[in-house]
Amino acid sequence: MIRDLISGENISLILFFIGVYGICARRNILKTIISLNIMQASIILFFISSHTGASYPPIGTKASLISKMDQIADPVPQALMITAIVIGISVTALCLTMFVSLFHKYGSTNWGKVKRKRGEHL
Amino acid sequence: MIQSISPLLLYVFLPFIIGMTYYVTGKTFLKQLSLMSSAGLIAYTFYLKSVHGLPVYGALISVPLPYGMSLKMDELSSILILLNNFLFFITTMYGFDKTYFKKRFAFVFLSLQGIINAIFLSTDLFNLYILLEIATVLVAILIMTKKENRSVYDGLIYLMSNLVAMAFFLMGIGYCYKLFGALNLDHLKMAINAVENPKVLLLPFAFLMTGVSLKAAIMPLFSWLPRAHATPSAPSIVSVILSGIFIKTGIYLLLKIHWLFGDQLALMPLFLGLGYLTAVLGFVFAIAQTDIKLILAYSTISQMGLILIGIGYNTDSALMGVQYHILSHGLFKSLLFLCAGVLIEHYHTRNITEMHHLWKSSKPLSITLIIGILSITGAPFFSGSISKALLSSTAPSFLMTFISVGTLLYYAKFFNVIFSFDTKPVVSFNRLSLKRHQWASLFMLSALCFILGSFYQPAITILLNQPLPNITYYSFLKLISYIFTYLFCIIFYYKIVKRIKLLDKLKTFDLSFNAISIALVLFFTGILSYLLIQ
Repeated sequence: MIRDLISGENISLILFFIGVYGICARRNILKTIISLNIMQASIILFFISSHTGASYPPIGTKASLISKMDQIADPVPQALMITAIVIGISVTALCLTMFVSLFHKYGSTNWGKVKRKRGEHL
Repeated sequence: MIQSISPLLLYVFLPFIIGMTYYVTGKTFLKQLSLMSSAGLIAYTFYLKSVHGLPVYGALISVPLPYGMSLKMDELSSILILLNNFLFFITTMYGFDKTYFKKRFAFVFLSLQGIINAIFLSTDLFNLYILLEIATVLVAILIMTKKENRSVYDGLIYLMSNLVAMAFFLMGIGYCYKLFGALNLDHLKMAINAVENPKVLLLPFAFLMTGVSLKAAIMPLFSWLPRAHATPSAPSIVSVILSGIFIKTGIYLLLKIHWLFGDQLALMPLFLGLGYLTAVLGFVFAIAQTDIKLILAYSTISQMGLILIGIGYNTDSALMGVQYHILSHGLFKSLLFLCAGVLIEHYHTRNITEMHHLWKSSKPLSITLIIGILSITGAPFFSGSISKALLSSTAPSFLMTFISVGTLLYYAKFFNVIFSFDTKPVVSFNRLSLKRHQWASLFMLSALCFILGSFYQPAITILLNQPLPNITYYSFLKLISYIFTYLFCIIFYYKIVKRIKLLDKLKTFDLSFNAISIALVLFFTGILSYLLIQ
């Protein structure tokens, strides 16, 4: 029964909400960026474990059937996710750059402390 | 196989190429060329609307739909594209000789014009995701233009809260693909309508709605907006673009999501509840503020609530009101933001209580400001009144009056800027110095506010291409009641509202990033539980 529960969809939902927990509960800006990355990774898992119609997903237990039968893996999620990975990398790089400049200005990695210090500069 | 290139691609690539060439070569005539390109795109849109006929399709790859990609311009997107290119025309004209309008700024700014055009032309959920993500990055760079103390923090909050929202949006797209195998909006609509058990639509709807609601600054998810739209590091032309058109991308997506899921799920109570909440809390926050740009930013939130109410009612006249209000709000809010930028430079402060006697400093600017205020408060013969008449044709009138009174209350503050009866006149006034092209952009915006209000019949027929609903737009009674309500509101504001202590606490209200995320999760669970109870 537990084996049935371990599917791409369920694992990616759990991972997604682990990421959401991270952005809600962690005050460290760096950990927030990491949590955001966990969310993005979970979405990638979700997409490539999903498939439509007669085609099979490229990963998972069903993927082994692809070579045996005249099947190909669903190409659309793979194409979409390559784009999403590229975007994820660039926005992470931007977030980290801004974080470095924020750290130089305020000398803290904590959202609360940075907010308090920003208030002083008003 | 080489396909013929669709002319719709011009909307995306023309501004981008001009910005890129300017960045590389630095030739100043390219700034004038960007003005001409915006004007050309406006003219081409009018040609498509009136002569060619809508919708216009442009295939991007040779694969047929639902797997291919295409651009499509329909009536709604043509209005938004007109507004977008017009606002970029005005802002480029207003700011092209400012010190911040350098190569890098111009490149990012003009790219944003192309990206926003692309958002309104896109027919595909995943393309929308990518375009919104690029636009988020561009806006984050634009609001950090002037290097001031707060700019990096404001930019980071804006960027990260929008990235989290877009992650929710992408998860929703994943569910749509998993369930229906299509990402094209038209095919999705057909697939969703064929669903027998609406329960499977709950998760995709909740994910998509959460992502889009943050983009449109619906009430619990509004906290990034005042920071982005009113940060001191952003020039006023960036605020104009953000409040005038960029926030409308969220509204456009809300319209699309309502169109996709509206037949299967009961969305009316949800949209109306969120709309009234946003409209009322928006003006309460606006009343509490004294920073002129923050007042305008919270006022944008309140107006988005009004638009959401119109989407919720979903009748023909309400949807026309939504389109007309998108247009008129874009114009008068841009006018007010430009005026606010001039006032901040003139008085060297952002505090509205320290600005006095504008009428004696500059009569033309006072008149422009008055036109903006009359439009947003829905005075007869100005653009806000038509859209509000259309929106309130289905809504209960006491609620709409309540929202109007709220709007009048915070615009009572501007009354004091212009006439200042309670302070003694200062002996010397600084003369306001604006260049000719800046006056021209202010004048064009105020003229359009007046035209859209006074000549609404041709405006509705030409722009919306729909017959006029049979409701009262103007009456003598409306004019009288407007004047008396405004006078009452000015007195009410200065005698009572200004002395409420609670408002001082709201003034410094500011959510941290963790609080924004928690609000996002609460919103998501709220929508999901609302749909489950149904």
